[in-house]
This record gives sequence, C-alpha cells and structure tokens, in this order.
Amino acid sequence: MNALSETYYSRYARARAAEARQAIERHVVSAYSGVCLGCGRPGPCAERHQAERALARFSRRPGDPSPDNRSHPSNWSTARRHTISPERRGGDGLLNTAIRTADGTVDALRAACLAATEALERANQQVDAVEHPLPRTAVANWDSALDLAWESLTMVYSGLAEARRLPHSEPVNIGDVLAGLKVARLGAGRAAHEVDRVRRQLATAEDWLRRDQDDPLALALALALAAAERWARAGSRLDLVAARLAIGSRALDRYAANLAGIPEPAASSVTARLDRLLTRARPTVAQTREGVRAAAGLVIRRHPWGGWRGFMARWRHEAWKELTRPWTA
Amino acid sequence: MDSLNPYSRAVRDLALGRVREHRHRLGRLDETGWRRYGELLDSVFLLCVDRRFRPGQDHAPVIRFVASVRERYDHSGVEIDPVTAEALVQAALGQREPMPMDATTIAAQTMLVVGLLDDEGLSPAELTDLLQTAKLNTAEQTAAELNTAAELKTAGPGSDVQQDRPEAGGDRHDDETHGEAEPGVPGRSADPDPGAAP
Repeated sequence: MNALSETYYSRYARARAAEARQAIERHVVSAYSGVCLGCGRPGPCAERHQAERALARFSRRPGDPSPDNRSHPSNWSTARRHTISPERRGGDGLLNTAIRTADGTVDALRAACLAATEALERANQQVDAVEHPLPRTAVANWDSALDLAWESLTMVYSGLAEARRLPHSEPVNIGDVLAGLKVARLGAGRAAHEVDRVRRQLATAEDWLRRDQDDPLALALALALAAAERWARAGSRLDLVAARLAIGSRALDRYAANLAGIPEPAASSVTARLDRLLTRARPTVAQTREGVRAAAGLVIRRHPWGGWRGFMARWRHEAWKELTRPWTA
Repeated sequence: MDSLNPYSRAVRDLALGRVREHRHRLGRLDETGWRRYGELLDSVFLLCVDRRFRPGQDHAPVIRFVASVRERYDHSGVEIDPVTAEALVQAALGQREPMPMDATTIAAQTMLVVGLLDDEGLSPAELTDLLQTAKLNTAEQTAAELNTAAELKTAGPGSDVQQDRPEAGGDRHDDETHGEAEPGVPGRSADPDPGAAP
C-alpha cells in the first residue's frame, strides 16, 4: 500500500467507522422490551449486527493483527485445539468441572437479570414523568446495569457453547436438552396466556376510557383519548408478542421432535397436507384474479403509496369520488 | 439475484407491502401463470400456518389470529369472512376437509398469508428462503402428479388406479404446459424479473 492509497483508505475507513457508530447509536435495543428502538424489530437487529461488524473492521489500524488470528470467540475452540498440550489434557476433569461451574451460574444470573428488570420497571412506573435529576440518574444507571447484565448472560451462554466444543468435554445429554426445552416451552405457554389476559384487560380499560367522554373540558377529553390510544397500541404490541411466542414455541417443538427422533406422522406431514390442498376444486382464473385484487386493495390501505405516485393516486381517488358523488350520494 | 420465480416475487412484494410491484407482476401472468400463482399461494399458506400453529391444538389461537388479521386489514369488517378464514387455517392444519376455492376464499387466504408473514417479521433473506421452500414443495407436488398422470395413461382407462384419481384434481392436468415445471414459464430465462420494469 503506498502513501496515497493509505491516506485514501484511512479517510474511507474513518467515514465507514463513523457511519457504523451512528447506526449503532440509532439501533439501541431496549432492555425492557428487547425491541430495537431504531427499527422496531426484535433486537439486536440485522442493521446493528452489520454496523458492529463494520466498526470492528474499519476501526482496526493497519498494523493490527488480522481478525482471523485474534481472540475472537468464534476462533477460541480452534486456537485452543492447537495450544493445549497432551500433558494438560490429563486435566479433562478440570475442563468439565469448569463447564459445570459456569453452567451453574446461569440460573442465578438469569434470576438477577429478571430482578433488575422488575426493579427498573417498578422505578419507571413511579418516576416516569418526574423531572427531578436524581430519579432520572437512578433509572438511567439501572437501565445501563440491566443491559450489561443481559449481555453478561449472553456471553456466559456463548462461552459455554464454545467450551463444549473443546476436545474431551462431556457430550451434552439429549435428555437434559429435551427437558430444558420442555421447561422453556411451558414457560412460553404461560407467558402467552398471561399476555392474552393482559390484552383483554387493556382492551376493557380502553373501552371504559373512551366511553367516559362526557367531560366538557376539551383538554381532559384529549388526554383521555391519548391515554386510550396508548393502551390500544400496547394491546396491538401484545398481539405481536403472543404471535412471536407461538412461532417460537412451534419451532422449538419441531426441533425437539427432530432431536428426540420422533418422526412426523405421514398423514399430517406438510407434503400430505399440501397434496390435499392442491387436489381440491381449484378456482377459475377470473376468481383468482378477483380475490387477489381484493386482497391487494386491503393491503394498500395499510401500506399506502408514498412519494409523488402516492400523491397522484390519492388525488385521482379523491377526484373520482367528487365526480361520482351526485350518483353515489 | 435471487432464484425466485415471478409468482414467488409477486407474493414477496405483497408481503412487503409493495402493492404496485405486486400488481405489475400479476398483470403479466397468463392463464397458466394464474393457476401456478394459486398453487404457490396454497403452498406458502400451508408453510406459514405450519410455522405458527400446531396440528391438533384447540381453536382459540386460530380465532385470535383471524381476529387480529381482520383488525389490522379489514377496517370495514365485511371483506374477510371469519368463518371462511378460520376454516382455511383448520384445513391447512389437516383438521378438516379443504373447502372449494372462489374469489372470497382466495382473498381471505391471501390476507392470512400477509398476516402470518407480517407477524413473523422475517428479513428479506428469510422471506426469500421461505418462498423458495414453498416453490420447491409446489414443484414436487406437480412432479408427483405428473408421474401419477403418466401411470394412469399407461394403465389404461379401465384400471383400478383410475378410480383412485381425485375428482377435483382432474382439471389441473388438462393443459399440457402446466406440468412442464418451471422451464415452461414464458420468458423466464430471457427475463428473470418480468415485473421489475415500470
């Protein structure tokens, strides 16, 4: 690399690193909801991962070692395989003790994370609208602590996974995995049940608040409507939570069945069901076209066209309505 | 460039809310294309239902899901029939016989697919994978039916196999181009993305 290209590369790398930092700041994961605040998807989102990779790549100075040789977690097991001497392999018992010890910390750490989540949530509930700096400092610090705690738990998990890939580590017992998955599945089922109950209660509260609109003060009415709107949004979010829990549970079910070697009954396999669907009476082309057009009309209400095309479409729609008003009124 | 066919791309556009592109792609389909689009829609619907619901479970999650789709997309409350929509999901789960399709059921099925994909929150790459799987499933079914049709032809009209042939599937073998799998799509090799042009 000559001086000119090095300067050019430095400038390029600085720009990419700055972009990546901005993206990371934008796509912050909420510790409470687990949702990326930048894009609303479950976090950490793909954009954040990409930005982290870009930052790691472009923050490296030219003299730094290649990432392939650094102690990246994905390379630990490979590196270890080359460095552990045969004499030390006599200490396989030590390796498995280490794995068991680390495994034993998971439950406690998870309990600590959940306790911190609850503490933060209760504090937020009381001091949400308070402007005093002290409670805000407290909540900000607890929020940061919670982020770090969940991050630690994730790192313990990834460390355990790496350690179990080391030679001479005890193989994972499939029965334990299945039992753990069953507990997780039951937990998700309980969570879905609770979410459903809360959703119904929120809908009831929203309904009561909307009915109670006989207050003559416009400000009170606006506040009540704003509160009801928030609860409605919370309810629709909870719908999504229930949906994601169901999708996750289903995927876990299929994984557990694969792991346990339980074959799917042939009659209820996807192929058999698809065969039954495809051999029913098919619609005519005109029916298919009509149905698809009706569905597209429903989707476009949720995703209206943007830009000048959207403007022209809306203008045409309004003009057509005005033109046909004498006949449709 | 992904390896999706025009029908899969049309479904993808609809799921991503790109209705204009969706309409452009569908506007270029011929009769065979519409039939294949309908089959692909069945396959995608089945895959999505299978990823979300467990066969044999109670009806409450299905009822809640249909209600949420109607709440999100059907503001008038009359355009997605809840009974039809729930029956479609139950049929996909194998808990009842599939119902005959018409314009209403096609609209309901399409909206259920959009709702299921919306709930999953798939990235574009994951969505492409899902559609690819659905496309392969449809192709496998088509190939299997072609083999059955060939066996029927060689067995002759009076054989026992003939009696096992489903009545409803008969109209799907009447055009020769239907069974010629993907290479039969007009212009596919020359123009892999026919709906991309404005």
